[in-house]
Amino acid sequence: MAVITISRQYGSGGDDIAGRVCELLGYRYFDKRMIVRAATAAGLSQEEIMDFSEDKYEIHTFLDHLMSGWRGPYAITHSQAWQEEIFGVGPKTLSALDEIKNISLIESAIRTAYQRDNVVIMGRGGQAILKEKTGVLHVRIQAPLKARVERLHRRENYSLEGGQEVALRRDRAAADYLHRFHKIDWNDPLLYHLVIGTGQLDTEAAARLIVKAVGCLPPIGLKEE
Amino acid sequence: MAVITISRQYGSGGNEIAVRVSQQLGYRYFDKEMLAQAASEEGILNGEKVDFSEDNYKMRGFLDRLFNWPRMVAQVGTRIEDKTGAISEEIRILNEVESVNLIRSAIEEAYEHGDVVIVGRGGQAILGEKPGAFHVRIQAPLPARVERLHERENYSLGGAQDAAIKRDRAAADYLKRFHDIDWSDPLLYDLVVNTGKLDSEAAIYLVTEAVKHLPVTK
Repeated sequence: MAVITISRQYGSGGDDIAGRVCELLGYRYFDKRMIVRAATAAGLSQEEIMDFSEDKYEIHTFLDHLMSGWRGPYAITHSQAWQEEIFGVGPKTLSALDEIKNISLIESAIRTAYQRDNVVIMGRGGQAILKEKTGVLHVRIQAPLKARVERLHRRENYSLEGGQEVALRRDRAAADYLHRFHKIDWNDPLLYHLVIGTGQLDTEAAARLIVKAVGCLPPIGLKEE
Repeated sequence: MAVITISRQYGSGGNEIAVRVSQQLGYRYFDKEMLAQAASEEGILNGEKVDFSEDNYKMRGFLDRLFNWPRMVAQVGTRIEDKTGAISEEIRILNEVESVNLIRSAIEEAYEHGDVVIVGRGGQAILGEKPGAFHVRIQAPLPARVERLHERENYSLGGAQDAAIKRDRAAADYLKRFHDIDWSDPLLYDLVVNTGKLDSEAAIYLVTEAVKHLPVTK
């Protein structure tokens, strides 16, 4: 009877752990579908929604601002790649929501998930959005860079240099996103109940530890809004 | 079968957690006796009843710098009984470098022995990524630590805050100086428990469970 947020360094095995936790507890995995559902409820079509996955966020360059001519909230200019990757649609001009609206959408989807309970939320600022809520366990998964590069090499077919480059880039993107939109330092251990290193603990051990930690949360009364 | 190092912020409950973890696992708690044992094995002193006493490391004072010798931080004393049955005491004072080297040897020895809980003393740096070494950090937000120190150790609130900040700075300084690590880098640790969010009982439980399910090595 809880909600778990998992923040993870890229290549640390966080996704595997999250999946296993869902299996062990019978929890749902908060994913794009929940965001789409929230957006649909808000009256948006699927094409207008971008799943704002924070590890793909990249800092706008001055040139982007200049080219796009915006002065207000910025359209996301890297969205083409995301559209392809996430929704499998071809490149097209994106008449997307601006960033602020996207963040609000994700926030409201996460708050809805919190109310419904028994869900694992991966990334997307869950540790910030649900910061002081009762009945939420905040976990961070990390590993030494070497271990992450090895995993990416083994599982995702990256070369060793390529794996290192993408791991560092994705992490930087996630840290920027969280700093920019949620004003938090991604690496701060005090955001979390537990920080788990997967250098020593494998997926199963980490998942089981998280399940045990959920059992240690103080019992809650009615959830606040 | 593991060696656990526990690094803790002052006032986070880490000492209590370490003691209870070692009790629950049936592990040896690395204490001054083990340091003293290492001292006698290093040949620092011969005799029975070796006693190791360690000052809190403080950053170097002006006078120390002035005289430019390593600060004395520990003393090892032993009682020697001679043939006539007369007992005398021999005391050896260790400077910083000797003290740190002694601690390093003692911790490496404890690692060979296995099934030990080592609190502080640079354990996470000395043992690093050795197989079977499991590094834990206990930390909590400053207000939570101040409250705990105020309640348990009779500090005033202001005094507790000063003490917490000062002690942590000393620990960080020690680790930077002698082991070249950043104390608060989460990547030094296999498990970090935030006792501002989880209570001590939960921390004890989770640390022992994590250790019980480590892959078997050594």
